[in-house]
Amino acid sequence: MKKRKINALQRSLKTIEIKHEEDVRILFDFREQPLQQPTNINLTIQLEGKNKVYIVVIANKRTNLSLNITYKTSKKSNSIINNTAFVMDSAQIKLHDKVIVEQPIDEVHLRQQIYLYSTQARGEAIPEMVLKTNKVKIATHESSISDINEREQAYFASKGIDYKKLQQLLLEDYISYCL
Amino acid sequence: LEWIDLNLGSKKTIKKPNIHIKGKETKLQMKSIALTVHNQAHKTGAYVKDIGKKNRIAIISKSLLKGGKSIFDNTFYMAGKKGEARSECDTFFLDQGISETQPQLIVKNNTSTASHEAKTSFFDTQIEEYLMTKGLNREEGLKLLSIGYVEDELAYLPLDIAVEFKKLIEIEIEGGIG
Repeated sequence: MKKRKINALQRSLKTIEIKHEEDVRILFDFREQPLQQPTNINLTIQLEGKNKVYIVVIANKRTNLSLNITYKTSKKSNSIINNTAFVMDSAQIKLHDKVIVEQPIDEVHLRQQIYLYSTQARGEAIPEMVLKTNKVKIATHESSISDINEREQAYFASKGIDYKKLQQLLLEDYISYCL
Repeated sequence: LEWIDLNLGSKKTIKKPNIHIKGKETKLQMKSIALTVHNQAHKTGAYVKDIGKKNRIAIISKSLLKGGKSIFDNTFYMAGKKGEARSECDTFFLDQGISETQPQLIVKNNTSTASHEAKTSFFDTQIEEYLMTKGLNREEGLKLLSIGYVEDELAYLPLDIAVEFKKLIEIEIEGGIG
């Protein structure tokens, strides 16, 4: 599968076309340039054939971001969409992913995950799916907002890894896996 | 609190109860079943605001779709401490139709969690052919699968209502009402 990386901090990015056998990774990293004002980013992704999409959002300080992505599937597409956000300090993230299925497709799976890394971090997730046809083999979506769970924290603490270090490890490991 | 609702019959149904949980270690379970046929439109879900402590919330929705439009519109607003909320939305396409899922998860601190999952099943030719080998025609197969799909939820209802609901599903699938 062909890999493509996109650094999505360019404001001009509006539409992305993903072709057959393509694996696309999109990174929104606001750690070095936190947003000063509430910002909306609207993006349309056109999916064609068999593909995978990984989106990673990292926000800290007072970043307030609303990321709205619309996915349009085409005939016989087979897509896996993964959207993950890491929210630190007093940042606020809203992920709104909308998948529209109008033509017969093979498979579509949407997964959203928001990790809240501080008590002041706020997360909002809207995984939306619109199916206008019944000629689909598999259509699923899932979403969750949480911190690292207490059981995992206790396990890693027993190995000498504290909570702060665990957060850092998880973030770095996820970025290296996805990108 | 346990809540079960059955939605069928009318052309437009909108049901979104507003629930505020202030207590401690409360359990809320809400189950919703909808059958949408012809040009009907059903919108089900709930608005749940948690400002208590260690509350557990579960919203389960099952929709049968034979034409029309089915919308699952659910909101979790988690502002309490150590709260857990999850929603499930299952849709079964018996025929053509439109299904929309619009859940919204809002979490205001990192001690609470919220999750949502949804899956969709389809009555396709493979299932139809399998049922035909067992001596069932399309209509009988649809009735059998529809009742089997919601059977677990109907077990929570009083027997007379469950029997009546099963009969109503059968009549709706035959096209007997409306």
